Amino acid sequence: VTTEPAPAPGLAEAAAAVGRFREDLDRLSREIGRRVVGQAEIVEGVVAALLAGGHVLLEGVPGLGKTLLVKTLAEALELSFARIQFTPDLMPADVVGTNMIVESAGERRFEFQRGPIFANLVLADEINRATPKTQSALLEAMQEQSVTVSKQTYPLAPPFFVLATQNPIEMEGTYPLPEAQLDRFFFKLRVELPGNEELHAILDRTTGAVDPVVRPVLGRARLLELRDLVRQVPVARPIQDYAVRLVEATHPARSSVARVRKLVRYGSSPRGAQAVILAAKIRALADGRFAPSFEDVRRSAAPALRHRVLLNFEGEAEGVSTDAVLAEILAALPEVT
Amino acid sequence: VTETAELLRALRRIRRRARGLAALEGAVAGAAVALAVLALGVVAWRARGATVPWRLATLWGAGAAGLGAAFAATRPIPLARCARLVDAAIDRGGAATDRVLSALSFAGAEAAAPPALAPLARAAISDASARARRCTPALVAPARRPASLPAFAGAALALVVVGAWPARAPGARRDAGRLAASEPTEPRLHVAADALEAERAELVAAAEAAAQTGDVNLRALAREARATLDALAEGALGRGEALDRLTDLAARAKEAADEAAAERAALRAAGKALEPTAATRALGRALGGDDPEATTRALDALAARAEASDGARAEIASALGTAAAGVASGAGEDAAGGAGQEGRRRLNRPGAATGDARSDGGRGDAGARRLESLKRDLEDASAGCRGGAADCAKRLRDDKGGLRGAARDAAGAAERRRLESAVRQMRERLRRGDLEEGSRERRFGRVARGEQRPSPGQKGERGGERGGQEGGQEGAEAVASDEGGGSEGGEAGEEVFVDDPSGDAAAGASTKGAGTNGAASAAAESAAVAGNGVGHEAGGDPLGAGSTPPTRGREREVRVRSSAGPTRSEVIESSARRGFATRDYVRVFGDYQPVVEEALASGAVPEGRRYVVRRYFQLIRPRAGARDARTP
Repeated sequence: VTTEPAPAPGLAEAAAAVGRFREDLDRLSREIGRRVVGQAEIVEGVVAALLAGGHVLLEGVPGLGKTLLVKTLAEALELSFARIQFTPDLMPADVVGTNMIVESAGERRFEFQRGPIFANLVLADEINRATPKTQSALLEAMQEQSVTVSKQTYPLAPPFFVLATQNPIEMEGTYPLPEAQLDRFFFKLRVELPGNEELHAILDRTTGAVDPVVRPVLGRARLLELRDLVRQVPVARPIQDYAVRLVEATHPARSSVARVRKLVRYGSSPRGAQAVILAAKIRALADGRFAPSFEDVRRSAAPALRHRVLLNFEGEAEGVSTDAVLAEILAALPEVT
Repeated sequence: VTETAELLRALRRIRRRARGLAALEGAVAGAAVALAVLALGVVAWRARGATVPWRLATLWGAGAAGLGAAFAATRPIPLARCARLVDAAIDRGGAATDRVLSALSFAGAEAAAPPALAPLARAAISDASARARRCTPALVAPARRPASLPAFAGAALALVVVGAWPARAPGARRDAGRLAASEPTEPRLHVAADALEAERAELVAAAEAAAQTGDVNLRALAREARATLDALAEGALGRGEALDRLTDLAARAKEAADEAAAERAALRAAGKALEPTAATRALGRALGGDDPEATTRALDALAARAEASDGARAEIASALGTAAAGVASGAGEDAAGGAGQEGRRRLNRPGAATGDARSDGGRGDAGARRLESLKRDLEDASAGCRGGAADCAKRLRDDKGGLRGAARDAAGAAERRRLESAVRQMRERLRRGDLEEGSRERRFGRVARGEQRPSPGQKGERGGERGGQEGGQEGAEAVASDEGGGSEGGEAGEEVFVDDPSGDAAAGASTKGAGTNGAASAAAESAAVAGNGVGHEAGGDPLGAGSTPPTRGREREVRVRSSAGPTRSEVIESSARRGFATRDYVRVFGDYQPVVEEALASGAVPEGRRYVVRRYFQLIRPRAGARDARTP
């Protein structure tokens, strides 16, 4: 059983593609790891969202390396990077750009000045500090991969990846993201404090004289190839059915889990199921497999659904986390009906 | 396609293996069930003393095992389950990857939709097929101990134990059963102290009458009945024993009453025969009036006249002969035919406290002998008067005791009949279960309801007095109604009854509003002396059948409308106690009661209703205390 069988003739190309995917992903992770200490799950989630074509909402206190992660990722992938610090007085034009009068050759004309969103990797730092109007400026860009200014639409160059951060503790003067905007994030990742050993490593690397240099390991074209490969991964019907039942179980009206019926106001949207399946595919490829498994779905459930499941007042009052609710659903959901 | 076929072939091998294991599991489970059933069967066989057919039992066990194996082996095993078994074998020790299950799904999709699969799907099938081929069926589905093996072992052990357990012979079991059945089991009967108040009063009256008239027979019967009543009150008798004693006592009381009635009829006939003759007219009237003293005086006077005049002696002799014939005719007269007329005659006589009663059946042997003796005495006296004067006077004086005794017995006929009625009524109440303690309490809410409601026109007076609290009157007013007539507090309200599973309804009763405690305590006190309620027995409960709410051991309030008013028995009882217990009422009651007894004895009232009529008159009898209080 432990002996690796040889692939069948004619199928070598597919197997090689999966092998290369795995190698590239390993190289990318290693390169990021040269600068970012620990946070393996965060790195894995961010890369998965990037490969799936989605965006990530990072939640964590300041100083945990969120910005460093995105900058490192941009350097490793040779992609353009922009950072937007969201503040209450930030205007939509400050994000997407605006038309300005430009004097050229003796005549004046309007010329669109691109905003910071015209980058491959955009870090929207403390996104919940901007007004909803500004937050909504991100909405079209994240979903449509384009920007419209003065009836003129400007496409964003792929890959376009938004990594937004928000502080879960300091809520004064913030504008919580609306459900519609939350749903547009592929993953919501919680950045935890590093452990003791990791903290030692961080201090060693950041307080010394040598600054780790990150080399580009993947180009933009290869990244898009990897995205295409992810889309080609087949999903077995029982696995997909499991994901569908998982998403259905987050809805209080359809769930058989008592805590869901009691504590949940709204369940996940179909985007949640899409995110779960795509993430499962990426995990399967990263593991060198041709199809995702039940375990891949289970491991993808929390980051893909935690921001799509809305607790009701009772759930909020009791301090129940959506992760706990999802864990109960996963424990109660049979793999095969 | 080849890879898909290889994959399916590998999965089918796994399925065959799984089917075999399932058959083994089914066989063990079937055998376990068969052995358990067999153990029960062996117990039954041995309990009946029959021989266990072990050959049939063995066949039964084998058949059940085969049936279980066949049932388990024919159950469908989907390939997906086999794929999961293979996946588990492949991923043993690591994370589950579900390669074979996914490949099987892709193969199924390919079969359903012919277009070629994506390269990665085909690669997944190829990968899974290669891995599955390397897994042997024994590795994927290893033989393991059947899950039902412990049950099988337990059932087998039970069968061995019950098969080897020593059993007694059937004859010994039968003897043991007979011995157990022969043990006395009748419980003692507990009668409430006040439940036999009416009968006790009747017995006291009978004993007084016996002492007054010198009726030894009546006195003995009254004493014996009193002893039985006391034994009942003390709980010294069982129900069956008490019924036997009362039945015997009632039979003897009836015999005594019949005897007295027959003598009385004979004496009246003799008196009628003596009245036409001037010399014997006084004796005739004395005999017809059941007066032993007058009889003695008349006989003395008659003896004196016989000594004084030969003519008178001849008339006396002739009249006594006619009287002897009259005794014979009077004894053969139908007593029932004349009872009603006599009773009515007595009723129209003012001041009569007692009435007449006649036998309602045939006479006993003792009565016949007594009549024969009386007839012979009269004939002897008549023959003596046809002889000499001294002999005539002597015979008349000698006969004096017999006629006087007959007159005395005739005078006590009514008392004997009343005693008989009292004993029969006591037996009937015992037979109906009315005497047993708690019989009234078992009727849900009756006692409580009856005692909380005042009689018409009393407006809760009883509750206030008997409860000894001011609240009693208010409580009674709150539940009074106007159905009984004359109730001023008859507004419909709500009563709250507490259904007490222990049967202590009176103690648990309560009423809404003021005076709850007073009314409830009055209810608890007077419930003990309340009658059984004529209205209940005669026409059913006027309020309808009592409900039995599912209390499940807890108290529960039941709300009923209080517009029903007091029951008939409550009205009658309270009226007899206070409203009508005057001197006139006592006199009228004394007139009516004998008439009722006559009517009951004559068969005018159906047998099934006689108990009710008697009980009615027991309840409305004037009580001694009330009579004293109201009689000026």
